[in-house]
Amino acid sequence: MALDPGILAAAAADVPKKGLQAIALGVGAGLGTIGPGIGVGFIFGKVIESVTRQPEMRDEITSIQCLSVPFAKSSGNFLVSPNLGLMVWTLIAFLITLYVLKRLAFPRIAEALDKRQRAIDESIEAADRTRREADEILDEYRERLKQARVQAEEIVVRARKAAENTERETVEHARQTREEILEQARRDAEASIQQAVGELRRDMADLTVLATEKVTRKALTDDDQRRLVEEALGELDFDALSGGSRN
Amino acid sequence: MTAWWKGLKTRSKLLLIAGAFLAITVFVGIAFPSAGRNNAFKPQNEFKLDPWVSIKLGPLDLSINKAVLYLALAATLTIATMLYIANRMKQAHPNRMQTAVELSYTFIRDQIAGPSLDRRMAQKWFAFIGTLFLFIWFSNLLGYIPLPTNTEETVNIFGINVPAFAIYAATANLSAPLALTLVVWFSYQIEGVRAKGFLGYLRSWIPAGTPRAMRPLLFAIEVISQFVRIISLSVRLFANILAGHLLILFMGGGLVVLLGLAAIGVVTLPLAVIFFLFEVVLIATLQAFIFATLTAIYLGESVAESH
Repeated sequence: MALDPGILAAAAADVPKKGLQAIALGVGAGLGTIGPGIGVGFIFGKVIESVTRQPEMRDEITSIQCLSVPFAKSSGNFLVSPNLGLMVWTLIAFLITLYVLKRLAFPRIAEALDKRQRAIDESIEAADRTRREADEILDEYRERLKQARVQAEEIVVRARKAAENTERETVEHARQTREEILEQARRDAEASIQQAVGELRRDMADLTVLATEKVTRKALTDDDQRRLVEEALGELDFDALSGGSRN
Repeated sequence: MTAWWKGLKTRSKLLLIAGAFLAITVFVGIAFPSAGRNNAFKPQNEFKLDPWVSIKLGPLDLSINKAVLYLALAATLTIATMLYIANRMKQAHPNRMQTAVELSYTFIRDQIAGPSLDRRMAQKWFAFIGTLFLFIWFSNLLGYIPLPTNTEETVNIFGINVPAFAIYAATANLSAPLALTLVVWFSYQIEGVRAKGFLGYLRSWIPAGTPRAMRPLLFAIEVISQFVRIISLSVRLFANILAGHLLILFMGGGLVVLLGLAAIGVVTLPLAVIFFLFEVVLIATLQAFIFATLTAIYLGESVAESH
């Protein structure tokens, strides 16, 4: 193995990985032969030693040697002579195995492994996609939340403004109403005053006429009378009566 | 264990254990004399392939024997396991066995076939390399399960002679690995010739940039090396498995019987357990891996541009 120039050349030439593999195999196989080599050498050494010590036991000793070293008797030893029939059986068994595995087992396993690999890739991709979508949705949600907050603030502001408007309008309206009521009240009061003043004047004129008749025993003509009363009343200041309500 | 033991360094502990082991061996050797060597017991007969059903086609001896049974078992087990897994693959949640087989599948694809072969070659030869690995692996592992296959030694149970339990592997004889090796060898030679043409392939054996004078010599060496590969590939697998079985056999009782020294079993039996575990855990898988990897390397090399 160590002398195999092909592998040595392959190791030296190129492809360090392949070369190293070949070297490792060669070294391993070479080391593997050391053990049996020492063992066989040891057995032979002992046999020679034993035979020289006890020549009379030569047959016995060499029979043990034959057991231990079947390789020593290559001629005819069944352990190292290939059996053609068994080789044929081996080929049959191997080829049947190869056929069945190649036809039925390996493709299915390969297919299933590929499928599983694809499934893993796909699920990783799907997970990525889902996460991306989730991120997008989260962003959108945040955006919407922000908008909602802004809108809410706007609504509050608008509502406040509306409320203020309404209040102002209500106050205005109330004031107008109050003023109208007051105006009405004032007009009513003036009308009442005017009416009262009129009645008063009429009653006073009548009373005056009556009093004058009693005093003078003379009945004035209606015209004189009225002229006189009117003149007298004209001198009276009625402003004092209505002035209080006006102010 | 007492406190003084815990206080020791790992190296001291190991030395103590080894020393105790050695002392027990010496003591046993001196204290118990051998009951006489046993010449009737022939351990190599554990690996003898007696024909169970004799089938002969002219010169070809196709008799069914122990190795054929193991081959059939290995093939059946490989096919059954892989088919079971292949049918289970549709399920989304794999069980442990499925995970293990998937791991070995990706291991073959990425560690054995991947580094040595380009994409086209890997696709073309994956099934071959994968089957080689799995078939050899299952054969090796089956070899460590004791099965009632020893027809030479039988155990009489209620009047029926049941074969004694024995361990054997299809790969523990030269023929099976040699047959597989020949398939590999011809495969990569044909692949090389197909890729480069006959002369081109032969030319590619000589490394580029070799001086003209050196070429015949290198070519001769390369030719030898090509044929040595048949031996190295097959013998490496077969000898490893056979040696493992021999070690387990000798340590597990073979030495006791052979030397007529029953007490030595105290020493050898723990070794047998250690060797057994070592073989099952490491060698069975490692040899299958090496065989398949070398196949991939040879195939990749045969079509590679420069050698």
